[in-house]
Amino acid sequence: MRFFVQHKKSQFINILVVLFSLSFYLFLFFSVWLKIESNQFFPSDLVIDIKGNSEEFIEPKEMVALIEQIHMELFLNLLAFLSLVGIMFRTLISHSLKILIVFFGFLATVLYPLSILGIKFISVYFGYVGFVSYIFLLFLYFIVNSINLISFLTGKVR
Amino acid sequence: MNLIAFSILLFIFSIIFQLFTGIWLFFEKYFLNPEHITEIIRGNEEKFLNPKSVLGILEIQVPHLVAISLTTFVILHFFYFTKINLFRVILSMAVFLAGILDILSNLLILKISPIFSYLKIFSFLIFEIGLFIAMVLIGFSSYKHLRKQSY
Repeated sequence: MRFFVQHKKSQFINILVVLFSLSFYLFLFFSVWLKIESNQFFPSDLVIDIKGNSEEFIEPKEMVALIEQIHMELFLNLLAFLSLVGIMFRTLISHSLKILIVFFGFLATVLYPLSILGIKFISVYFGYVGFVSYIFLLFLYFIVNSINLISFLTGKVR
Repeated sequence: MNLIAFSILLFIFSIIFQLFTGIWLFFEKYFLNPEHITEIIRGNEEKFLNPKSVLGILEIQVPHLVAISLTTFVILHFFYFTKINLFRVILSMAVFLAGILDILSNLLILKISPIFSYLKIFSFLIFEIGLFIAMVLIGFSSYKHLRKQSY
């Protein structure tokens, strides 16, 4: 009886993880779409969005709006990454790989908002840092999500 | 290396950044000044400032209720893995209560009295300082755990 109940429980968790992972792919896809639509994806767009452009009569972003954006994106990305790694801990990938993923994941999550501040206060070259860190963040999320999905679909979990 | 302790430590560092942006945002919007908070929320005819609508306040309040409760819960539940004493219990309760009062105070300022702007500042300070202390305590515990394992 115990085996039966436990087995049912683990199947239920598998279904939940698969559903979560599939919806997470959608989140990644729409995040990129949203960034492109709001002209915040490519380095030059990011710089114009924050610093403005007098030739095209684009006002620089207000400080309150900028901090609000960082505040919300950081919260969302931290929560998303925490959920992903929480599931990843149950997979059978190597311990050192898990450590690396956690380290670079948090680094990319913090580096992207920091680069936005870098554009505003230091140099427009931080536009490239922002672009690369955002791409890296998405890539890492995609990899971890895929590891989770494959591991739970094939039953290679603790 | 202990994976959980390492993740908690990095999470705490990231959340401190999040806390910093929250404080920055508060200063940009309200300057920690009760009169200014009242003006922003109830409006000021002389300065051509419109009062906030209930809808506008609720649109900010509702997602913040989820976000603040969730973040506070996630951070404070790490205390469970450390030695819990009376101070930590009181700190946790104070942080939760202050977080909720900070969110609710906007509506109280608009609908009841400008005096609640003092509550907003007080609860904001208690929330930020309390959460910071909690994160330092948890971060220190995780660091101690990591060091113990490396020897």
